[in-house]
Amino acid sequence: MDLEFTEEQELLRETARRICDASFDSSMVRALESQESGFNRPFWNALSEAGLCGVRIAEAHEGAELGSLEMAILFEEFGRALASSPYLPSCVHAAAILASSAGNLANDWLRLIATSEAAVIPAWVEDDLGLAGAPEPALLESGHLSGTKLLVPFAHNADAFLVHACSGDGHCWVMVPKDAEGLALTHQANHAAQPLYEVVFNKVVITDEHTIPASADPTHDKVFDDVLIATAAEAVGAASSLLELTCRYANERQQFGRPIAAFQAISHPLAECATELEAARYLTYQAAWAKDEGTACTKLARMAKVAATAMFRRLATVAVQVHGGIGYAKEGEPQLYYRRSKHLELTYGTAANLRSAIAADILD
Amino acid sequence: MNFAFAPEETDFLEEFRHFLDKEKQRPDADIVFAPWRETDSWLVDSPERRAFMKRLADAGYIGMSWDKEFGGREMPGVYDYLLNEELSSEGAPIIGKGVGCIGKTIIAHGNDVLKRRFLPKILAADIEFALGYSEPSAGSDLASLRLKAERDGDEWVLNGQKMWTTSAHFADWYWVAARTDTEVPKHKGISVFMVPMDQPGLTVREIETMGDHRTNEVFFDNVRIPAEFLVGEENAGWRYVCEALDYERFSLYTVGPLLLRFEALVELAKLVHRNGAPLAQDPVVRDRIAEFAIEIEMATMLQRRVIAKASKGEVPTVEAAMYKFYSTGLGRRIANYGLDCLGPLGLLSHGAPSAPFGGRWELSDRATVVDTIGGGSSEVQKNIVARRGLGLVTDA
Repeated sequence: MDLEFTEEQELLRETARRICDASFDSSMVRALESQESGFNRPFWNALSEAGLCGVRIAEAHEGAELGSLEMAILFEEFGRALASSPYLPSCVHAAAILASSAGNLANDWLRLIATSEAAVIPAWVEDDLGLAGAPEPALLESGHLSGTKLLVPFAHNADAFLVHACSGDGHCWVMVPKDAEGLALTHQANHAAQPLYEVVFNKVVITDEHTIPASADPTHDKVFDDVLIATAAEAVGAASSLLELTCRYANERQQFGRPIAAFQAISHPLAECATELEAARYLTYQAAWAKDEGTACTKLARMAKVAATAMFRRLATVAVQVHGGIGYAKEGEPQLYYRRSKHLELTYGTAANLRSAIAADILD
Repeated sequence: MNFAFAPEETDFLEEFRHFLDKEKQRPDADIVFAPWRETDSWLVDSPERRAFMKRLADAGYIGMSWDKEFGGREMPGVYDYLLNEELSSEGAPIIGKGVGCIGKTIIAHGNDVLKRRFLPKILAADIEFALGYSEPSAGSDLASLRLKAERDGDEWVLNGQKMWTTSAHFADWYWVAARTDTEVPKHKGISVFMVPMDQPGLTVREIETMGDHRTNEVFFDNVRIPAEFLVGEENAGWRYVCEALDYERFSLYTVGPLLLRFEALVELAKLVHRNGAPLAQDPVVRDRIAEFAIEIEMATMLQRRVIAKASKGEVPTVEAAMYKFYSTGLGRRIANYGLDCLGPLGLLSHGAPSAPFGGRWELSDRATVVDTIGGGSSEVQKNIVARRGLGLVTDA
């Protein structure tokens, strides 16, 4: 047993941190939140120049072909800076979907993703709050794709979409270039002010070789492991920086003639969150390690996602309380983390959905 | 990064499991292997359990991490951990005080009399110890202890009282922290002594607990011991007490009993029916079990951090505090939920006729309380995390 990173991994972390520090600070996060597209071009270019977009893509496609653990390191750093980009949907999710197909799609697109010449964004969230209790899937019928996808991240900056759809042969991912006829994008205002869009596909013409077989529920697909691990790592990273700034504030802020950190009503919840943070951090590393070892990792990845995002949410509520009024005010930092924590909890697999899969693994 | 144990470590585990398999064939196995006893299952409190420890010693499993000079095998501390993980997972007594804090402190600081007298007996599992730390007015604030030790010629005379000494009613020797100087700051006037449990003037009285777990208060009325039973230097005791916790970093923090309790909960959910279907099919129960499964994995991660840091030769103070309060709180909540799953019938006492699962969960709910209090309460652990882990300015 060895819970240390290698020298190469530490170097990767330093590189990622340097890039995040250079192009993301709190004022950048705020600036992006006020724009619809929410895209930080210098950050994306820097990731590309450092060759980081192809971390999870095979060398055959000009990727770096590194492990899930390396990806987790990147996302921890992204999380620390609240850095958002098309990396998760394109370089992780779409890359995993494409790599699962042996066809031309992989050859055509993986290289473009690895070199960040293109961003491919999976579009799979549907309205499931209707009376039927089930989402209305996009349909691929006689060469035409129709349907509405919601909360599609960075759709404005996408070069192509992988659309989850129902066809005569079951479920599939359909590759749709951004400029295809019949596409309409609408920005969706949301809780964490992230760049999310409704994308309507209206009888978009599709040729056969543009589909990849998929599971009925994309969050239960084998290719989703990396997405869960990345989201968990992002939550861990964000929680780490939030914990640091909250502890600093608790030590500085004086009330009743002493730093508020001296009150156990302040220090004990922080100690609890710090403990859950370390537990979630290593659970995330363990899931990534298992993935890289080629052993069973899906249950661990689900656990890591639920644990890390729930921990981040809990810490965010504690941080708001510790900061008091300034935790509620827009000028304070905690509100950024508070909203982002809920975003991470509810995207890429909800706790209820993932726990149900974990229970099935244990009990059925 | 590697979350698996090394091949030589898993080989050792396999070899030790063979040893335990043979032990479990013996007629007295149900006394030695008793996971239902919860925290008490760690104690060497019966002749059968003493005999088991002797066999463990004969097979070379006691003192593995000690220097060869003192009869050990100079194996890395992780083997002590693996051994205790297996033992505690089976509800068997674990190696601890003797080979851990007491033996290692004597090796580091003890005089030759103590070394000759105790080290061979510890290695042979011929001796059981009780630890005398807490007092009526020294609990979480241990350094304020008041049991008085005064020098009188070639002897020390001890007067006062200890509390919560779990093993006092069956141990042979008492490892006692006492005040030897009242004129200096509280941490600087403490010394450690070895006291025979049958010494005149020493009285052991039972303290009953709701967990069917016997602990004791011990009264010292002019208890006289020879000068050489002072461990190390006079007034250096607080350092030894703190170091001693460091010596137990491999042996104290096992996760096996927690995993065992969770597996029992899964079993319960599959066996117990409500409204004609197993609880395991109830969506509410399924959600709770998934949540516990995640927390169990988180506890395991915190435990691995203790072992990983200790294996690097560092003292995992903060890591151990994190694991202690997180895992014991979780263990108690699982016990509580087991009872909830059983409903009103779950209230039937351990051992009562027709108590579900023999009343295991009823006892578990009472017994797990000690875990979040003994050995430093959860609140004390959180103080350690806050001060030493997070650098928060704290009063305590």
